[in-house]
Amino acid sequence: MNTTETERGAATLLAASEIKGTKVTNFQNQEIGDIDEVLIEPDMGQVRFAVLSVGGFLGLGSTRVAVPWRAFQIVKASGKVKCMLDATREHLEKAPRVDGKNYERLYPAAAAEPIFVYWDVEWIAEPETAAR
Amino acid sequence: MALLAVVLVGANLASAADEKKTAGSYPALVAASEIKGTGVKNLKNEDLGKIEEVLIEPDGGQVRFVVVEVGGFLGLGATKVAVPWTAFQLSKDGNKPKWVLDADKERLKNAPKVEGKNYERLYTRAAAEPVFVYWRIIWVEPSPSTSISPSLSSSPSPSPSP
Repeated sequence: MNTTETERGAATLLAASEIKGTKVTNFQNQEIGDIDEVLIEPDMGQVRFAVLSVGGFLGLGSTRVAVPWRAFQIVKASGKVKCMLDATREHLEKAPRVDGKNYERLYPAAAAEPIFVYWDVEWIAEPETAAR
Repeated sequence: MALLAVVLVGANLASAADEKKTAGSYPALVAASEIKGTGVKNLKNEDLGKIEEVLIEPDGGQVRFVVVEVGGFLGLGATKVAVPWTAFQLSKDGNKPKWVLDADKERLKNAPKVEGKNYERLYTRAAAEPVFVYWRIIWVEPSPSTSISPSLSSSPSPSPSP
């Protein structure tokens, strides 16, 4: 992903309760959905995934996909936080889905790592996992 | 046969170590929308207050602070304090995490407060680091936007292969 320093960075802390519902657009400025949930790795407090609720964009009805936090570009535009994701319709269509609220499934590295690979984000094992 | 025995013993040891590591920690991802309102207790099982907000550093996605609303415990009316995520101990309590913070009344009373929803103030290092120091958590400079910090990428520790 060709991200430059200046594009990125909201220079504020994001309040988790305000992230839900944030619109996500792609690089073609198409609205691809909104953020439904933020999933945090418990030990260090690292956000692992944002669950993106993909709306009619796919023409598939509502679908939810897990996307690594670092795949998003978060920018501040005229005082508002904006979320961008480099994802075409096709890329979203094939993206790993999330069913219901069964987030526990996304905890083991075996389940999480392929999602990072799909989104081309480097998987960093939690310190605990790495020590094994 | 001897080889098989060794393998089995090895497997047992590994799973015992796994169990030890996860004991006292929460073995699942925490859904941010479910955190708000969760009670926080101290080591004496006293209610300290409840979680009001979770503040995320946008670039790397690191949760920097958990804002705890301290209730009548202090006898001071409602006060909000910012506490680094790693100051908490999370453990499993049924299907939900149980949040424990090692803090007595005195410690909470003197803790850095949060006024209103002005969370932007807590973004700068100058504002955030003293909060970490207060809670005896090592301040870690947020990683640069896109790449892993050099110290991590040059780290000799091998990444685990699946």
